[in-house]
This record gives sequence, structure tokens and C-alpha cells, in this order.
Amino acid sequence: MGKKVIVIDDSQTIRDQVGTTLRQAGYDILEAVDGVDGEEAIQRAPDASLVICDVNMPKRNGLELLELLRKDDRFKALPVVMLTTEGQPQLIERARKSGAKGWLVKPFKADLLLAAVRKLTA
Amino acid sequence: MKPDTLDRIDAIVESSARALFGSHGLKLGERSGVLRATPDDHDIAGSIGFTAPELRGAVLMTARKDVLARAWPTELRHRVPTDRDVYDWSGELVNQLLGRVKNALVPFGLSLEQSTPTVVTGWHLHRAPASTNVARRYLFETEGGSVAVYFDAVVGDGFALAETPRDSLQPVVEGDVQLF
Repeated sequence: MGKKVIVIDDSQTIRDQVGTTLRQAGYDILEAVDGVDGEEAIQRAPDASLVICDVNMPKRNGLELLELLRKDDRFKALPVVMLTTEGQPQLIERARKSGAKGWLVKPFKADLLLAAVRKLTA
Repeated sequence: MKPDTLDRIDAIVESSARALFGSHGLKLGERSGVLRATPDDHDIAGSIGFTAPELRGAVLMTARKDVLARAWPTELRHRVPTDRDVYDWSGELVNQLLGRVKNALVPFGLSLEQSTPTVVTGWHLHRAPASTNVARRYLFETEGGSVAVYFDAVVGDGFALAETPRDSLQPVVEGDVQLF
């Protein structure tokens, strides 16, 4: 079994794109469609190695989910990378201060995504 | 609003659309004339809203489904996208288009908040006349058909873009990775 990566994005295409890229590299992928579904997926998979999370999503956005995870002792150390169309320095700084491990701006390059995932799950 | 603001918005939306579709392997040709009505063959529309102080509106993109399918992500080209795939992809494309527009506006002091996208499909789609005080239209030809982009906004009297970009506000470029 490969390391588990949870991909949270409201676009099925993005989940498929990330999932295909990482499955080919041997990772197991779990998917969630928004910030609420994402929290549930994380609770169901406490052994996950990484979360890749969109920012603008229905129900709960990615930064709110990140901040929620950092208040939960069980998931404080779980690496989270944001994958988003947002490139604004203020948002990136908010994510960094909230404990995100990285920020990728869509559309992502598969080789750069994979390199980041390998580094964060090593 | 300064007289050149609309020209600057036009330049940003146009370059964002070109860069977006170019990054997905679909070259947009020169803008083809004035878009007065949605082309008759367009059968899918993706829209996303935005807001900022003195500015609120939406970006709408219409095309034929098979045209948007030509921009299907490289990683997924081992399968032909279904209609359902293209619906989702249309929403993501308009999301990525607004993302590029937002990121281009940030250095000029404008930070937009956005909604999540909505997608509509059907025959003979037509954008109703805009009720906003800014209604910009862009029609691009591609090898397989046209793509139309609409930027509609209510702009307040106090709306202004900075004359020059601020280096401290430069956004992370699309495709880039920052690890902390």
C-alpha cells in the first residue's frame, strides 16, 4: 500500500488530475468535495500522509479547514498543501501562518506537484 | 472611473484567457470582431461571481462542449471526457480564468473575492443584455470553434486601479509551487 494522500477540491476534474498523477507514482488517493467533506475524510483516515486542498470551495473553504485542523491535536502535524487559482500574497501568508506546508497555483504542473508531494511525504 | 480603466481590464481579461487556454493546449486566435450575441452553436456556459469594494460582477464563458473538451487536462487524455466531465471542466476553466484575472489585478491594488462556479448547458444559449454599467465582451476563434468571455460588473464612482504595479503585491505565478 502506498502512502495516503487526501485530495479536497470541488472540481471532479482537478481531483482526477491530481489523483491520476499521484496514483501513477504509487500513492493511494482519497477524495473529498468540499471543506466539510474534507474534514470527515481526514477523520476517517488518520494515517494519511498529506492533504492537498483547494481554497475556494462550498460549505467550508480550504483556509478555514486548515485553521480547524491546526486546532485539533490529532491533525496538528498533518502536512497540508493548498492547490488553488489564488496567488495573492496575503492569502499565502495567512496559509503559511496557519501551518500550511505549501502553496500551488492552478493549473499545476504534474512534475512540480509530484516533487512537492514526495518531499512532504518523505 | 478613469477613461483607460476599461482598456486595462480588457487587456487583462484577454491575456488571461489566452494564457489559460494556452496552458491547456488550446490556442485562442485573434479576437474576432464585436460580440453582439452569443454564437448560436454555444451549448455550455460557466459563470463565476466576484466582489471587491466599488466593484461586483461576474465572468461568464460560453462555448461548444467539444471545444472545451479540446482543452481537457493532459493528465486525463487517456480517456475521452463525458458530457458530465465537460460540465465540471467548464466550471473549473471559468474558475481558473477568474483566478488569472484576479492575480493580474492584485499588483494594481485590487483584491477580488469570488464565488464558486455555476455551469449551464442547453441549446441556443444567449446572454441577456447586461444591467451592469460595465459589460465587456470578448470572442475568440479556435481551430474547432469559438469561445466567448463576458465580464460584467457594477463599478462604483470611487473605483480605481493603481497606475503602476506594486512589487510587494506580485502574486505567485500560475503553475508555481511554494513550499514553506
